[in-house]
Amino acid sequence: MDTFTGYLRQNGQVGIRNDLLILNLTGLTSKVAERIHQNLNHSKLVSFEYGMGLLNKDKEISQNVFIGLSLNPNVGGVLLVSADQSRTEIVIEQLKKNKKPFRSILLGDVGSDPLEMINTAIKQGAEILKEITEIKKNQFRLEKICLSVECGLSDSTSGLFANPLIGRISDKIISSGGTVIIGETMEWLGVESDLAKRAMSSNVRNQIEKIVLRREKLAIDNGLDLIGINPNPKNIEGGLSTIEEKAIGSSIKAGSSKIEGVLEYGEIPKKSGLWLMDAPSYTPESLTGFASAGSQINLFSTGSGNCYSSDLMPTIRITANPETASRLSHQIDHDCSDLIRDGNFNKAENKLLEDLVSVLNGKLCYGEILGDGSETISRFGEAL
Amino acid sequence: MKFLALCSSDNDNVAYTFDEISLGQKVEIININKVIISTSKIPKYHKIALNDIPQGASIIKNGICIGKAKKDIDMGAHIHVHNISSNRAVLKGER
Repeated sequence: MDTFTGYLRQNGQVGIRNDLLILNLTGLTSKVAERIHQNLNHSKLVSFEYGMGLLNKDKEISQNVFIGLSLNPNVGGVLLVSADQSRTEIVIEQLKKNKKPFRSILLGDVGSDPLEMINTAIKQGAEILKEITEIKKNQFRLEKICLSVECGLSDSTSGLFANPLIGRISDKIISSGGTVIIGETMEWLGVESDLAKRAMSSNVRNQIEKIVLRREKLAIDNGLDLIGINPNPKNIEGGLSTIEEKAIGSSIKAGSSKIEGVLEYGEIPKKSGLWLMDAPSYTPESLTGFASAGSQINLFSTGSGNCYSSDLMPTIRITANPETASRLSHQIDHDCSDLIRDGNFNKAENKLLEDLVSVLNGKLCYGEILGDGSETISRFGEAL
Repeated sequence: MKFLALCSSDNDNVAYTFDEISLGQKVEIININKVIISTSKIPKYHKIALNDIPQGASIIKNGICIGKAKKDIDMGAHIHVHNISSNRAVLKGER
């Protein structure tokens, strides 16, 4: 179970899917991009609906995320749709550097005629699909995998069973030479000193404590009582009483490895190992940050059920709550509720690893089958 | 019928229930071989107090403090947002 079959990219990365990504970079062209997407089977659409006037962090991070999503190994080729030339050129530069197949179309290229733009872009997209679907799959070791881990609408079974189980898979990927990313900074509140102790360097240790305190201060400065937000009403219904309690259960998804460093939202890790992403906790934003960082696959635990899925990263939904597993049998990909009865983590780990490798090899997650997938790029402030 | 709960480490003063528990039931804490009589109704997968916890004392799970008691809590009582609160992100004037 230490190998999988995937698509080798020109830059040496390995995808587990072979998608055409239609990446829309401006609000003006979002409807056009939607219509192009409707006309191209096997395409995925990610749309950023904001235009010029983005400032500072928003400007920098959105640009990095466009690049990150385009370079995600699951993306075989990219069709850039945009009304903004300079924004598009920055992405093109990286696509060229990484030798990823792409086409690009600007609203200005077609005399600002959206119908002409749709027509031309469909043909361009069709060409990319012909090109990228010629690639054959090959066998690779798990070191090529960047796993991201997430939890959403957790209850006590998440922290006691599903997340520790995910933690074991994280350790397995790291020991195989791969990469793991965990995010949701708010959910390290109360365990940040334990995380900091696992940092590779004192610099990283200080950074971990700093980003957690910064986010705690953000809540206080905005006069927010975390109760009802994080933990949210579903968490509370599921038995979670405080952010610290939630954090113990949440952070354990990262396993027990040393922490290489802290990533900015959507940032691509510079090397393998375990990375923390300083990012919002809300699942749609969080998963897109991971996809932008190059994660090919996500393990996503839930307590009461969570129907979200990334569009670019197959998202394996896991629950240890037997009621949720039976109520949402066509939403939950992996039921580990046996753990409540037998506590046999070794058996559960083998079962989850087997399932993970099947998904790496092409088995579809419910999110892929039912088309639940989406991407949401975070915003950080006002625009001009 | 046995009513079960699980506690994660030796220092913990709470355990997680695996059954719907009503008042006055014997609850077996499976991994520490202890039986506690419930002193309130407790929903499934929620927390039960393993001893008497005075107001202000820390609530310990996995050996880590997850908050403090807002009032005196009896052994066997349901522990949740009504009787414990977080030590983090506390707004000014509420600490």
